[in-house]
Amino acid sequence: MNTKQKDIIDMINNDSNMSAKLKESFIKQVSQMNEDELEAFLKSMKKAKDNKNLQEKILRLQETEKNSHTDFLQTAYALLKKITTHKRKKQEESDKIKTNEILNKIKSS
Amino acid sequence: MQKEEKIGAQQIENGYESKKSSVETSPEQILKTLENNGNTEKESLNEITEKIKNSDPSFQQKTAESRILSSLGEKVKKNKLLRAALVGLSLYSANPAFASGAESELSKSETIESARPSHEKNLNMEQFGNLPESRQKDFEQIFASAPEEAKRIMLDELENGKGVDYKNASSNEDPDLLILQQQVVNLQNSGEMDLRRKGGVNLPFDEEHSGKTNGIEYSDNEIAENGGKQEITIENASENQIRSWINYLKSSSEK
Repeated sequence: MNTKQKDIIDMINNDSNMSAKLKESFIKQVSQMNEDELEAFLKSMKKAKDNKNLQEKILRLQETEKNSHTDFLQTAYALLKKITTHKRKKQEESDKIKTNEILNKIKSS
Repeated sequence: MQKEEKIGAQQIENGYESKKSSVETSPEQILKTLENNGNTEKESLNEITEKIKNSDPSFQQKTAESRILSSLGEKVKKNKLLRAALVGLSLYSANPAFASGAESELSKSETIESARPSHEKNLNMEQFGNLPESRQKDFEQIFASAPEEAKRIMLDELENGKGVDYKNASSNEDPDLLILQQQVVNLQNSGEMDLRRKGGVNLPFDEEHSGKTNGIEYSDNEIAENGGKQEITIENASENQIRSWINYLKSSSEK
């Protein structure tokens, strides 16, 4: 954890408005951030100040995250399916070879 | 074993279903959703990486060549940035006093950056002609985050620009040029070549661009067809692509 993260976590801890549970959730998120994420986080907070319609902006960003997450899941699912299909095919091939071997043994006996 | 895989696939499908639920804007709810999404992505990526590692070598190689797995990793990286920005907005909505804290933390990093000697000193924005100020800022930001080699190419193209003949590229040529051709056409159609990108994402905290993706993203099929190319950022752009960006900026500043 770098000093920026520590500073922010201190600020959260010193806040008197938020519930302890909410503080804990924020701290968990902030402590997991890497350098780039921390920068995105800070800039987004700084810019929020100039935003007249914060709720709308939050909704829009939530929507973007949601779509992007769905996109990830779809790709992950497709890849997982590919892996499973490949494994099944391999298994079928090896089963076939084994069956043929047994058949050949029966025939030749 | 097969049963296990079915469970894994089911989990992902379930995750997909759960995302269809309606959005909530209370900080508690936002954080909960973000945490769930982050965990799902991490677990799925781990599960898939593990399965590929345990598969036969030819399949491993095929997967590596298609770069699907690294594209999946990029998606996680991008989503983490989006989530970080959302955490920022939520923290502000929980208590607006945090904005000044963020500002002072940011000014610390700016001081460190301005003290760092690098190619920035050689960057002469006048070479762009009348580039709008917002574009200049974008460019400077991208330049600052670019790898050293990309910086060298950018400066070279600015000073001795020869350009790239992507318009006349045919199917027999460099696949990079063909991707570039398509990229430029798409960007021209969208009316803007957006360089406001870092790690493959339009920076979400920018009011003007939030929720909009002008950048090029390829589907898995397209990635495979394009010889394993994925979303283009300054970190992975080819020399031709970088030269083309500079040309695009130059040509748009002359308008």
